[in-house]
Amino acid sequence: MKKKIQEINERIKKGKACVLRADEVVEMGKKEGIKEVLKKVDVVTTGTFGMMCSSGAFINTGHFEPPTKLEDVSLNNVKAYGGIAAVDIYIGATERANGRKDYGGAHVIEDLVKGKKVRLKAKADPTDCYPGKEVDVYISLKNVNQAFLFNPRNCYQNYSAATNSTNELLYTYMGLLLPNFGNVAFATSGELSPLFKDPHLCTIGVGTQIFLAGARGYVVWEGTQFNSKAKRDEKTGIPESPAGTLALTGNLKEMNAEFLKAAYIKGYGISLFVGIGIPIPVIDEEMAFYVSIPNEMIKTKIIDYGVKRLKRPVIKEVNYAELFSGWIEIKNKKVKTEPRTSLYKSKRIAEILKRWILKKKFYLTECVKNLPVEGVFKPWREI
Amino acid sequence: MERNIKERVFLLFSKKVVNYPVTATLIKRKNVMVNILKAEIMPNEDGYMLVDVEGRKKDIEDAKLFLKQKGVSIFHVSEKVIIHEEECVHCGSCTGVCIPGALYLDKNHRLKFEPQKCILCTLCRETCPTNAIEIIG
Ligand code: SF4
Ligand code: SF4
Repeated sequence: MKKKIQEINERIKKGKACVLRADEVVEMGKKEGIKEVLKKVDVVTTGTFGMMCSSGAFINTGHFEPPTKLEDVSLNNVKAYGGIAAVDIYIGATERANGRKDYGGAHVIEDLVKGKKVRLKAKADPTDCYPGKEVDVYISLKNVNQAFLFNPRNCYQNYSAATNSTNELLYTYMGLLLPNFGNVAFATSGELSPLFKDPHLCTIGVGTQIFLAGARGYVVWEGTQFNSKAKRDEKTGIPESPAGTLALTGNLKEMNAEFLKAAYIKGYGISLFVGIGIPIPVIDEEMAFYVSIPNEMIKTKIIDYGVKRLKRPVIKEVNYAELFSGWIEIKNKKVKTEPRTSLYKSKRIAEILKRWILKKKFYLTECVKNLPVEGVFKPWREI
Repeated sequence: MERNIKERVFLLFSKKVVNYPVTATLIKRKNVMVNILKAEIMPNEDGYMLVDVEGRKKDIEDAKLFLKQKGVSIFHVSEKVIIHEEECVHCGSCTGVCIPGALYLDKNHRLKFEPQKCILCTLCRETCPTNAIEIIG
């Protein structure tokens, strides 16, 4: 049995489509088996709400009187990039405000989405066509032309969990790591996470329409550091280490601050929580199998952040059911585990996307280009 | 005469130090009084202790240095912990560092806080990415 995306869209239109959240379909798969999942389910909605530093937004403010090029630009004292056309700028999530550690680009983006005004200051070299020398104004999402989130990388398909073997406390982007294997931090929504439910990216590609921070968003390209060569589990096809990533975009003006939140990680810097939901069509038996994969079958590695090198040693291989249980054993010791991704919000996102589809507000898209199967992520090398 | 001062601190021990008579050394050699308010220490396991230390400022500083050299992590204890619901995204980061389990995720994956279990160690605030945890004092 095979289903076409078009046929599924027809069923959505007629109000006959069966749409389930990924956690619901996992339960169904366990009870009724894969064949029933294929027969009964049309779409599975996924969700994730985690921190991703590789985030930012493009903004076009509109031209000023006198015409001025935004060159040396800041938003609420956070440096933005002005090296593009006159009034186009890019604000990166991790850029810190001048003289402040705990406020940065991510906070500017959150403030804008919350409807707040943000102070834009810029200096320029005057030219005959752009005679203005400086700008000092307030912008909001209401008075700019375009504002769109653009994440060069998001939706990591698997990420290693972190622990600390040393006897010192570590402040990392995986949070506080207590000494002597005091805790383990991991970052995923597990069986709800989009790229676990389509491990070979058969249905997700350039052009796929998604839920992005409360708005409709799109997959625009492979994400940076995309790696299709990571070792995969023989049974599930799921990579056991960081692998696929997605570059995403969506209209900031339609986004909701419930699904976009700035983060300040002490000792590391600034990041942005972004809520993403991707619908996965159950087009054949293979996809029915993938969408039903439970946490027990998804594996990752716990690595030691106590070793300060690019290649950190693996302490243990585990599955996500173990990590989500709250405790794990390392070297005969019971160690607490903690998620960095909000499962509460991830599930909410999957639920909202499910309702959008059931209410015929959201249809599936056929992707226009598949993501690469040859991408390899390498460390930096001298020429 | 120099006045005594009192400080409440949270000590995190690795299992290597657990078997060493830390408290006795502090009292006998470092000249400070130690009042243990809460402790969880088992042989060959990591442990923690919530203590009031009292003594002259210089002796207390000396005692802290000694503890650090021994590989004990020291945290200044606060008076109160407040979780700001509107800032919390229920990520769960704080739950793994909350040793007594005052912070945990409930069955709906929402953060729950039981203040009576809190030992005011402040570790949760250190790791919370959204500044949702306020420590008073
Ligand atoms: S201060 Fe925070 S981490 Fe420490 S016990 Fe209280 S709630 Fe837990
Ligand atoms: S770390 Fe902060 S945001 Fe995350 S659950 Fe705890 S209080 Fe909430």
